[in-house]
Formats: sequence, structure tokens, C-alpha cells
Amino acid sequence: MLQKHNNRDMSFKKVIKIKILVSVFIILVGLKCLLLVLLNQVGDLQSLTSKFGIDLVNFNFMQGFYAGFGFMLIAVGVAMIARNAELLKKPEKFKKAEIDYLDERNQLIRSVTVNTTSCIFIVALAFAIVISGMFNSIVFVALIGTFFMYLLILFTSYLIIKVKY
Amino acid sequence: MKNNIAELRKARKETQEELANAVGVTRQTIISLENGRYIASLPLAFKIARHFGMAIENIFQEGE
Repeated sequence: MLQKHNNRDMSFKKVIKIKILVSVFIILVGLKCLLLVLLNQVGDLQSLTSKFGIDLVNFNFMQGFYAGFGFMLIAVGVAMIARNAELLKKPEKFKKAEIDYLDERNQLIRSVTVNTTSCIFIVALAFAIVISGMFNSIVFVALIGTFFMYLLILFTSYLIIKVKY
Repeated sequence: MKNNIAELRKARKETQEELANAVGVTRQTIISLENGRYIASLPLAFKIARHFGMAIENIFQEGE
């Protein structure tokens, strides 16, 4: 029984460590966004990339987004690392977070939420595809690409998970 | 599915929080089980039965 309980502790510790790793990745993506903006401000990023045959025709329009998005990702990543590091240090908080994470009703709620969101998303996307085609072909192609990519990921995940259970 | 978790818990003068900690779920799950809004999985039903020292069928019964 004690052995089983220890294994459970280990698995949740592993989940926390994976979350910390994901947070580091999020921070790196944020830093990359800010670096791109910085390169464009200090040097001439667009002439540099054009030497490699890449034309950043829309970068000036997007750099405000990159700056905001970069700061947001860094803030989220740091907050996630701080929260998860605290869980690893404080056993009472760790225990409460573990019960919250492993609780079967919470797992059901998470699963139903993801399913519902997924259904609403795909219907909204299909609606957007139909409407966008009348106004802009680039948006239409981007949306229909997203739609098929979504279906591909859904089908692949289903096949993998089906084998597991 | 009906259950008499609330009656058994009150008979033992136990709080929902104590029962939740004993079987490794949140207090909200115990509340939902007692109200009949949520049906326990087989592993959780076994844990609850073991906690009360009873057979599963004496705690959980079929029916609305």
C-alpha cells in the first residue's frame, strides 16, 4: 500500500517536472519573439533575411503583436515555474494539488470541457471557412488548412489512444 | 445509482473533508456523490467501501 502511494507521489512529481520543462519552453518562445523585435529595431532584420530568400513583408505590422505576445509568454512561463517549484517545496500544497489533479471527478470535468470546446471550435471553424471564402481567399486557405490539420491530429490521437486502452 | 455515503459518514461523525482525504478525492467529489450528481468509478467505490468496512453493494444500489 505504502509502495503504491509512493508511486503515485512519483507520478505527480513527474507531471510537475514536465510542467516546469514546458514553462521553460514557453519562456524560450517568448524570448525568441522579443529577440526578433529587438533585431528589427537595432539592426535590419528584413534585409538580413532577404539575403536568404525570406521576405518578411508583414513584419512591421506584426512586431507590436510579437512584443506583446513575447512579454505575455515570459510572464506566464515564470508564473508557472514559480507555482510548480513552490509545490515541490511545500508538502501540504503538493498533497492538495495532487488530489486536485488525480481526483476522478476533476478528470471527468476536464475531459468533458475539452470535448465540448473541441466540438464548438470545429463548428465555429467550419462556419468561418464558409463565410471567409466569399471575402478573402488567403484566409479561406489558412482556415481550411487548420481544419484538415485539426482532423488529422484528432484522427492520429484517436488511433494512438485506442491502442493504449 | 443511489448511495448512502452521507448516512454512513454522519453515523461515524466524520466530515466530508475527512472522508475526502481518506479516499484521496476532493471534498467537491464527496458532495457530488452524496447528492447523486456523480457516480463513483469502481476503484473509488472500493476505496469508500473499504473505508466504511462494508461491501460495495451495501453502500451503492441500483436505481434513480
